[in-house]
Amino acid sequence: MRMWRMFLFDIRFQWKHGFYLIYSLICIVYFGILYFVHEDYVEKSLILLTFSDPSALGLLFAGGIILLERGQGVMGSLFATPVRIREYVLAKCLSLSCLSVLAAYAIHLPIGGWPVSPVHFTIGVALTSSFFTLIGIWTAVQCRSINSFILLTQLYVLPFVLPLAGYLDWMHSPFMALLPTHGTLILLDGAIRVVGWQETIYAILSLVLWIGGFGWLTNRAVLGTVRKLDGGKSHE
Amino acid sequence: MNRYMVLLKHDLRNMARDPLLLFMLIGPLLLILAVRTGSAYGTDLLQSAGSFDLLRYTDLITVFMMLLIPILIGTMTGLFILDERDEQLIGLYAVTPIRKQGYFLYRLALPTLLGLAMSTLFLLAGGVAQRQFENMGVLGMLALEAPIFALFLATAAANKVEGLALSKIVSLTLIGAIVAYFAPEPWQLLAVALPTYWPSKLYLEGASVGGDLAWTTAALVTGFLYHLLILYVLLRRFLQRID
Amino acid sequence: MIQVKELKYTYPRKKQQTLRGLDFEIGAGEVFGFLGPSGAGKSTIQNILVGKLQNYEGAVHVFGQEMKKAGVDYYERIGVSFEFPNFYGRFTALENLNHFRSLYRNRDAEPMALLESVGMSQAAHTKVEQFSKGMKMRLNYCRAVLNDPEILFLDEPTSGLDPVNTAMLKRLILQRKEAGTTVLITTHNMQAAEELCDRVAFIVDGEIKRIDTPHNLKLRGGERKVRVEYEGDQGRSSEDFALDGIGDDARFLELLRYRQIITMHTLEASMDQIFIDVTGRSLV
Repeated sequence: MRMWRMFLFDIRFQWKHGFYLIYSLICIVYFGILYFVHEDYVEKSLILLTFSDPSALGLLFAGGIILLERGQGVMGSLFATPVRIREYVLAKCLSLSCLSVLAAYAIHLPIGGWPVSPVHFTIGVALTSSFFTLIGIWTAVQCRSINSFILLTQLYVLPFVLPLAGYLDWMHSPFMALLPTHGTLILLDGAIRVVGWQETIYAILSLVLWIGGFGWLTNRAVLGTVRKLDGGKSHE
Repeated sequence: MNRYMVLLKHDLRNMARDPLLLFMLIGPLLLILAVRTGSAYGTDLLQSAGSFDLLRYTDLITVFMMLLIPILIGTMTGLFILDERDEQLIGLYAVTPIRKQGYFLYRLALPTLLGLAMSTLFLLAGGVAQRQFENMGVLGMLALEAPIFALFLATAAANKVEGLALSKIVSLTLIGAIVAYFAPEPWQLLAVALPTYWPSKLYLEGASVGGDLAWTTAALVTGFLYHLLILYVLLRRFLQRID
Repeated sequence: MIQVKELKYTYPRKKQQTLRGLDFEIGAGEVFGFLGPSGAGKSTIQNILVGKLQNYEGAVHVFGQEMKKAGVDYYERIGVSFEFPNFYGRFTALENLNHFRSLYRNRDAEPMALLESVGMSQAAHTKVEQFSKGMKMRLNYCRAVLNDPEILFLDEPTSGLDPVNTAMLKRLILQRKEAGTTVLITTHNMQAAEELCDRVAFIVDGEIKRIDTPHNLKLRGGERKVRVEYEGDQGRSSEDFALDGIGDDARFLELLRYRQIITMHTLEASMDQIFIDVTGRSLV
């Protein structure tokens, strides 16, 4: 299946560009930091860390890959083949989710041990990673340079960090519950507690809906830069 | 000097395409502003919420944030150089009167000066730092860190993607501050290889009650020389690579 | 294979038309060349024919189907090579070809055999980032024919190639044609076009000024004359003679017999000259 082959190629691409090596290093450093963190804070720190790094790595990396592929013109060759945009985007989401999940476990296992609910934890990381990967791709397609890309992603991501404030009991707002990252925190909590099925369904549904929305936007944006240069009628 | 003004003007005009300058100006300013307002309101908020006491961590926040400024500026510059290299623009500069050396001098001088200015502003107006004599040395090292990070990215990464991945590593050097603050004495040795450890150590030595003058001087001299050494090595490797 | 009628194209947010009513047909197995200076609209035509620009006016039929309605499966049947070759630098030549091949339904092509055909089997396991422009161009050709396309689009296929490799590429293109592939070449290299193409179209300012075989164009454009340059009494001079009945031309024979001849050329036009004559424009 073409999807699968593209996924494998993306993994190899990320491997060859040192993503896995760098994340091994990052995990070691995180381990070092968490090792010194006071017992009372470890669980929350772990979840915050998982939220802010492995889950969100797609934001930076997907964008970087897009900028490179476009800058080197590989995209031209790629989309002169029958590859569908959604296959391309999905392969990026899945491959980066893979890295995210691996890194999340690498950080979590040695410090926090096996999660209470590995299913929740894994789904949480994978879906969040896919969501941020989509934002990364969507942003990168609109940017010419890497710095404008970083600037824009920081802006776009800002609202999605808000649920953290709720998670830490700093402030609460019903608005936060609408954000996908609220769902992320619920699912990641599966690492330290049993999450009820209603909460689970709500969290997954929220993430999936947001992923669907941004997936549609991303698909359209990529289509406009590689296949339908003049915004012609989609034939995907 | 004229030639460099041309480059600066070019960067200013290019702001829309690549907001490098904008980012280098606004990023640290926002950071300083955030720390200033955060330190004013944050303490009450955190105390009432029953979380940990922020005041106890003022020094940690100071070293953490002061390191963040050169990291931010250095990373942006490094990625910008990679961008220009990916687009083969550096080759273009090489055949103009500015030449490659001039180009890099400019590319590195800008973050150095901006880093110095922003770090100074942070220490003076951030509202968290202590006014102390040691800060002069701290600033000297911080000024060298932006070009160090920029050069690290530009030499270690083959392209933008790798640059982005490596920028993660650059951010990780922040643990220099954490180690200098938290780690007990023998463990501190683990971080001496990180340039960021030294300004943090120097600041904390100065800020601690009954700081040892000999220790302070040692941290200052070693740290500064270490920064110069790294900069020299990276610069040499970089110039070899672009020829 | 390809029928184009009254094709007009205007880029979004542009006032001027880039293509101003083109008509042409390209038959199966034909090698067809688009010749013109940069900015004439060549790449716009290619982008329409490969389905990247869809808001055109007029009719464009490829494989008997209107381009606007072509689905993604269209790419299964065509191969496109771009002027600037692009690959994954961290992967070897073979890895790149294997990857691109894996994206097609038809995966019968042998990447190694393709590399051999362009004389690059030695470099198969070398990372593309170490390749020269010429090597990338050859790899680029391999990539374009991975799916054994029915129509092959080549944009400036000879740019960056040395004469030996240019000749090799021409041979490969002609082999494709023998096998029944339709080939579209956009170029401003007149010589390559002349040697490869069954027919060429001259394009200037979004219009086709003439379509014909290179042979006919040369016949029409040239003059049946010979120009003789010789050592005269007051230094070098030259004279033209009609080719018809030249054996009886007394003045011509006199020059040959009594003067020192420096050069002697028939005045058939070069393609460059014909292009200038037809379009009033030079090619660059």
